[in-house]
Formats: sequence, C-alpha cells, structure tokens
Amino acid sequence: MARLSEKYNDSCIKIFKLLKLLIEDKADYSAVMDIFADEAEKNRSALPVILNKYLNTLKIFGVKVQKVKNKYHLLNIPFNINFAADDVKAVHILKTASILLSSQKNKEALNDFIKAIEVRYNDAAKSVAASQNSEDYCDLSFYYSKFKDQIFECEKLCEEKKKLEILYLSGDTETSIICSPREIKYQNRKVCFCVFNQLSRQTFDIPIDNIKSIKLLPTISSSTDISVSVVYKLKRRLANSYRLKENEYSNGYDSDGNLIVVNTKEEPDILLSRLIKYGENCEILTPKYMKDRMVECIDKILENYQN
Amino acid sequence: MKEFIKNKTVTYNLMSFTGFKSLVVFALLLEAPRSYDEINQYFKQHEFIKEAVSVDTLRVYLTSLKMVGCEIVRTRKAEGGKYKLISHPFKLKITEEQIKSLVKVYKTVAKNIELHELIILEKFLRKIASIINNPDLTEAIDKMSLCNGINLDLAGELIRHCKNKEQITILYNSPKSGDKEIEIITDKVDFSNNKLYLYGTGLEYNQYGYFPITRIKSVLSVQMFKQDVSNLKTITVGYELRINPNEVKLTDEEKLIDIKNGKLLIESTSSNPFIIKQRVLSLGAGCKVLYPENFRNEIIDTLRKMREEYING
Repeated sequence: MARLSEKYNDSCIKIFKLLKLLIEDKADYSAVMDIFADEAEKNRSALPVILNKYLNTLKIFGVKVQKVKNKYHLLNIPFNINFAADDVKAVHILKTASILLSSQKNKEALNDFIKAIEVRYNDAAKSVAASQNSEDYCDLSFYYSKFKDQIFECEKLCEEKKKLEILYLSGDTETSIICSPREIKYQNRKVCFCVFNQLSRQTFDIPIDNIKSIKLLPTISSSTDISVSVVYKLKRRLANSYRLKENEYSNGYDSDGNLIVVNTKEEPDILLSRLIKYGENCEILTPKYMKDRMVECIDKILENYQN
Repeated sequence: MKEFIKNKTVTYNLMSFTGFKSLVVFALLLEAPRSYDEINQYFKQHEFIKEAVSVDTLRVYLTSLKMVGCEIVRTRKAEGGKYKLISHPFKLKITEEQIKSLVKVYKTVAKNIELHELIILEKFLRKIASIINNPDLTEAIDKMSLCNGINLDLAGELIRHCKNKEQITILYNSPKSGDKEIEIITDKVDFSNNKLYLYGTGLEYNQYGYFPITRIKSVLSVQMFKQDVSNLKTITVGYELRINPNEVKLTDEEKLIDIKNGKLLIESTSSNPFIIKQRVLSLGAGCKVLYPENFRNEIIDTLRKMREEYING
C-alpha cells in the first residue's frame, strides 16, 4: 500500500497532462485520447464524454480551448504573464519582421515563440493586440520587394559555407574578392552581404545590389577565420573622453598620455571613415596596410583642393 | 454546463471536481507560497468549491502536481511552513532554435526601426529573459544589443523630452571634470557609430552638441519655459559630394541644394562647426568643401597635419 505522501489522484494528473499537451501545441485528437484511454477500456464510446468532462473543467477554470480539424488549440492560459502595451508592440514588431527570415526553420521557430507569448496575454494585452494596426510599426516591405531573391541566395550561401569569388561594384570600379560568407547585415535601409577575406584577414560588407556575380569555389570555408586587429592611438582630449566600442579593447595609455586602442572585426572602410573624422587626434599604428590606406585617403582628399 | 454556470453549484458529472481543485491549488502556489490554512481559507470562500479539504487530501493534490513535473517544497516552520512552488512544466520556455531566430530578426530590424521602437523591443526581450531565466537568451541579447550598457528608461525619457524639444538639466559624467549639471534644449536621441547620443543646444556655450547617453546619469529638471536660441551664431558650409544620390543619407543639418554633373551640392548649417568638420572628413575623397574659405582652409590644414604625423611620426 502506498504511503500517504506517495498517494496521487488520477484526475489531477490527467487534467495537467491535458493542459501540458495544449500548452505545447501537441494536442491532436489521438494524443488527447491516449490520456483518457484507461477510463474507457471497456467502452470506447464513452471516450468523448470523458474528454468533455476534462475540457469542461478547464473551461470553468478559465481556459479557452478551440478544436480546429483534428487538433485542440489553447486560446489562453489562466496563468498569464503581465504584459504591458509596449510588450504587445514589441511582439508586433517581431511578427512583422518575421517575414524577412528566409529560412523556413527560423520562421517557424520564431512564430512558435510568438504564439507561446500571445497565449499568455492577459486581458489588457489582448485588447491592445486586437487594436493593433499591422502598418503601425516598421515598414520593412522594401527588403522583400527589392532584394528578396538576392537575400535568399546569400542566406543559402552562408549555410553552405563554401568559399566564394564575388564580383562587385566598389564605387565606380568592378572588384573581385575571394572570401567566406559570414552573414546578411541590414543597416539603414541597406542590405549587405558580410564576407571574410582570408588574404587580408578583413571583413567586408558588400551592398547586395552592388554584387554582379558570385562564383562558388569547391573548398569549404575555415571555421576559424581570425580577423586582423587594427591598433590606433587617440590623442589629447579624445584620449580621455573616448568610450571603447564592443569590438575594442585598450592597452592603456602610452608615455605621452595617448590612449592605445585595439579594434577587431570592424569593416575597414567603416573604420577608416570613423577614424579620419577624429582628425589629428587619431593615428593608426598597425597594420601597415591600414596606415597606408589612411594616408592614401588623406592624399586623395587633398587632391580635391589642389586646383 | 449552462446550469452549472448559472447556479454556481457543482455538478460532478460535468467536470472533474478534483482536477479543478488541483488547478486552483496550482494557481494559488503560482502567486505565492501558501500554508495549508491559507489554501483552505481560499477553498471555503471560492464560489464553486465552498468547502475545506483535509491536509491528507491536500498532500495528494501536491503529490499529483509533483508527478506532472512541479517542484514543490515546504518552507521551514519559522517561515510559516508554507508550500512553495519552485518550478513547473508550464513555464514559458525558449529553444535554442528560437533564440537563433530572435537574434536574426533583431539584427534585421534594429537599424531600421525608430529608436523608441528599438527600446520597446529591447525592454521586452530583457523582460522575457528574466521571466524565462535562460542564461543563453541573456547572453544572446547582451551580444547583439545596440543598447548595451544604456539605461533604457533614461533613454526613453530623453526621447520624450526631445519630442517636445524641451529644455532640461542633465547630470553628466564629464570625462574632464566629473559630475556636472548641463542645461540643454533637447533635439534628438540618435545613434552615431553604434553609440547612442543626446543631441541639443547646450546653453553654457550656446552651441549645438551631443552627449553620449552612457555618460548621462539622470534628468535633474525640466524647465517650464524655453530659452530663445533662434539668434544663435551659426555657420553654413557648402560642399560637393561625388556619390550616388541613393546612397547618401543626409543629416539633419544638411540640405540638398542642387545636383550638377553627378555631383550633389550640399549646404550644412550648425552652431557647432566641429560637427560639420567631422561629417566632412568622414565623407572622404568624395567630398570637397566649397565655402566658406576659412572652413575650407581648416579642413586642408587638418589633413596636412594628419599626413605629416603619418609620414614623419
């Protein structure tokens, strides 16, 4: 005979098993019936009545369940989370943006997560969600209309991880690069294919609409692409006020009070355009080719003023 | 069923009354730890249950809850000997795949939505991370976040002040002089090089400027009346840009005057020449300052000094 502390109640267990199936969105008819099968061992026709009894219990407790085709779906959970109006807006943003995910797997995973959130909405959150206009937030449709095919193609290349030879427009000139695909970057209404060039050990963000062609090479990209670090020093007031970025660390100050910064992974063109604006308060120390590029850039600007 | 709801009397045939009571116990423990007496008190006052249960029956319910995956402990006598729900299988969960998708979608939208929307999204994700208590999600948010290290409430407050261009006093941690009160007529909160700044006209120097939000400690006061800054001394700089018009994103200070022979003629007006200087330099060789002469010379002078440092330094 079971000790009192080990005694359980079959109905309690069944109601929670049913609830669990519903919460996990796995409550198809046969799975639900399996829970109650033992109660209708002698008379299978009693199963729907038994099921009704448990569904009624949930209903009285405040759980709304809807049957669509052969599956039961949860419309709410009585143990909801206190979501504010801004939380509902955030879910709406995620929902709107989910159309941009090219991988079906990613899309389904995100939608499942959103569903798990929405089912936990309290009444106030539900009413905010109901009044939400689909065009209230982030219009991202331009990506889809303009770059859909290119984005899908580049996403596929990122998954395949094969080395690539990309021909693209850099300013007015066609440039070719052998590289490994990294990711798709969305920035200020611009979509870039982020790639890594092993030769220079640099990351490049190539605007997708500048890409002329992509050739697949037979080799697989190395998983340990290590970017080259750019070391620069900041002088005068900037040395004290500068806040390091996420991809930076500092080796402290030199004897003249200049701050030595080590930058990794920042796209070279973006880094150059950022450092040049610091004027004489910044100087690139290494690598040499970045120093040379900076000097080249300064010379080109000065050429503008020679006539 | 209708009869049941109408009369609020229990008809055992229509429902699992035991199942119902165990759901009530679970919901009570979800709110807070409860003693046997507290649970019974609730049962007696419940519109359907209306009766107490024995301590043995309660234990049966608790054992059943444990069997479906709930972790329930009893607190010490000194703490009231209450039943405490530590974890349960109905909690909101997130899979590795879902975290990956969230990161992907965040990266997609972060730089394309309004700042106040980004703050809403950040707050929501951090709220979910704290509810779920999943270190992988927290780590993923920290890694991808554009607002890392930023007080989101303060950023939201500053955005609200900027909306009405209010005059406020902020407590600012100056790298030069430490904590300092700064009075400013707010303009906008925006990213520059992935860092968030408050832009506005500082009243100490009567000049437009920007302050990293990470250095702003708090908003000390909001002034009822704004100082008139319409007669602020400004500078207008004209420059030509050799760039695809679709690729250039003009700043608030800039105005497109003309497009000639594929060159864009831009005029930039600000009370702070330093902001225009930084902008012009960052545009690189595609940009040539046309006027005024002294500003043009200052740019040339800066570039020459920079070159000298690289060649001779």
